[in-house]
Amino acid sequence: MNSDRVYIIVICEDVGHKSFVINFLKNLGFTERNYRILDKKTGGDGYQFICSQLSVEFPEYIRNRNRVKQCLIAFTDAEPKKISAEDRVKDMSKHFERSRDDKVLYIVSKRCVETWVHYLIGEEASEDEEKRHHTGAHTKTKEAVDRLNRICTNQEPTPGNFLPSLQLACKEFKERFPE
Amino acid sequence: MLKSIYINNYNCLVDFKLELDKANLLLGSNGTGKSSVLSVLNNLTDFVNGRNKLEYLFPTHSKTRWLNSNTQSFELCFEENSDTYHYRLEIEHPVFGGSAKVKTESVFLNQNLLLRSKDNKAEYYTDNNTLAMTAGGMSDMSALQLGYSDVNAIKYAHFRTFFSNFEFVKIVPSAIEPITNPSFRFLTPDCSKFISWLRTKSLEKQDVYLELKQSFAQVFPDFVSFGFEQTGTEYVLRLYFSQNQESTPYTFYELSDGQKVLFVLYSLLAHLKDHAVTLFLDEPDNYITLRELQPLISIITDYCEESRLQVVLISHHPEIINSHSTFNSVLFKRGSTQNTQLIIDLATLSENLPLSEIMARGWENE
Repeated sequence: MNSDRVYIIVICEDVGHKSFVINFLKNLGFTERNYRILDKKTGGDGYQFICSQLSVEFPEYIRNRNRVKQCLIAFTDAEPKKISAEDRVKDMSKHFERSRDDKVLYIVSKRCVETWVHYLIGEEASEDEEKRHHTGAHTKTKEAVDRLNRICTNQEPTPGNFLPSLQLACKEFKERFPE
Repeated sequence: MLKSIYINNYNCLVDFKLELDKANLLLGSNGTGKSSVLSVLNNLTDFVNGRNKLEYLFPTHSKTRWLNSNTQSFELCFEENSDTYHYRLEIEHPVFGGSAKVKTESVFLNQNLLLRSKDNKAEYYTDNNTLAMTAGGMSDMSALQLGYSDVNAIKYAHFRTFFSNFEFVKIVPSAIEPITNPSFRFLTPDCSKFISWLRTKSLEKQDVYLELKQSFAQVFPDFVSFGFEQTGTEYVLRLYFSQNQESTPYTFYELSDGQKVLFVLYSLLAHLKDHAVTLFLDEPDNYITLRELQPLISIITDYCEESRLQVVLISHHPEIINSHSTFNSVLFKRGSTQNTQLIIDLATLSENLPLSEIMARGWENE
């Protein structure tokens, strides 16, 4: 792999997603030169930001998919009690329709990515809880992504109580992340 | 106007041809050969004007490493009115030891020969294509250094001035000396002698002063005027700014690096715009704030369109990269062969995303 260019474009809606995905990619062996993170730097609706970025990046992916080896990841939250993670993936897939071979991943955490971190490091976590912010969760991100990588790459069996949104994210990874 | 450049066997430039227009923008990653092109032109200028020895300007290590050839070739094409001048230089490097020699050097006007130097002997031709004179001893010097007076050799004499019309600028603000030096009336690439050059130009063309004053009033808050103040036999550049309703003098040293660069750039453009000069600006955007770039791009392109000035700009700045359609823009890239290649149709690269974003991802090289 040419180490001198960007392979992965990540669109994410907040600093928590950004930290999580950077640690995840580094854990897989990618360097800062291989990915480009497009994160929402100002206020406003997170999902709207994801869609507006996808409206630029998705056509660019399609246009370049036979020319440039690349992967596009959109990483966002669902809306508990309103929109499930599965529906959010369906919504993105409807507006930005992927073919089976496209390396385009729609990753959705049900409530917030901090819940994933807490769950993955073995702490008590529920995607149905109202509490959104978990102090100190970022410092544990490395440990969390290390476990997630092991699960996603079949080095560790999928836990029986695996969070449904994590299960969905792992499925996206296994089916679409380039080898 | 410099119309095209051909370079073979110099650094990463192999069988390389670059077509130029009035306002040009050279883009590309580090190490793709942009500065090598400027370096060739700078060295050819020094060679033709006798400022340095051939072996120093084109040392053996300047040959392309992966090319098994001892001959370096350079061609420049100039267009003026309806005339086309072709300059060609071939340099032969020794296989073992010794120094580089001129293999051939020639100048053509349209199809007619004006000069041919080969095997240590130079032949000079009149505008009517008749042999005017011959000279020897040209193995390591340019035959263009020799001028001759002939009423029928006006074109040759005119061509010799072309190399004096190149200005190479890579501004180093900290190197700019604030006091004039009578020994230097010309620009140096780092602009260290800029103040001396500006004083000379200001004396030659005083009407530019008002234009510059207006430009600076827009660029620098509270700017009032500028001028030269005599100290002994030399002159110091003073800039006056309004402070508490009084005009306060500042020396050039007191400007920030960005202000120095802006002062130099606006002065260069204003003084050179009415001359048939090719101005090579290597990363002039260093030190300059974002809001100053668009006005600068507009001035460069306007001057190039309206006057005789030609500009060749090298930049890595996203604001300038994304203005590529304003210029004759070419993108330098190094493919698998290592030789520099050019992408001319940049619109195909940036359909959805700005070109700077494509370059930030390194996708222009795919």
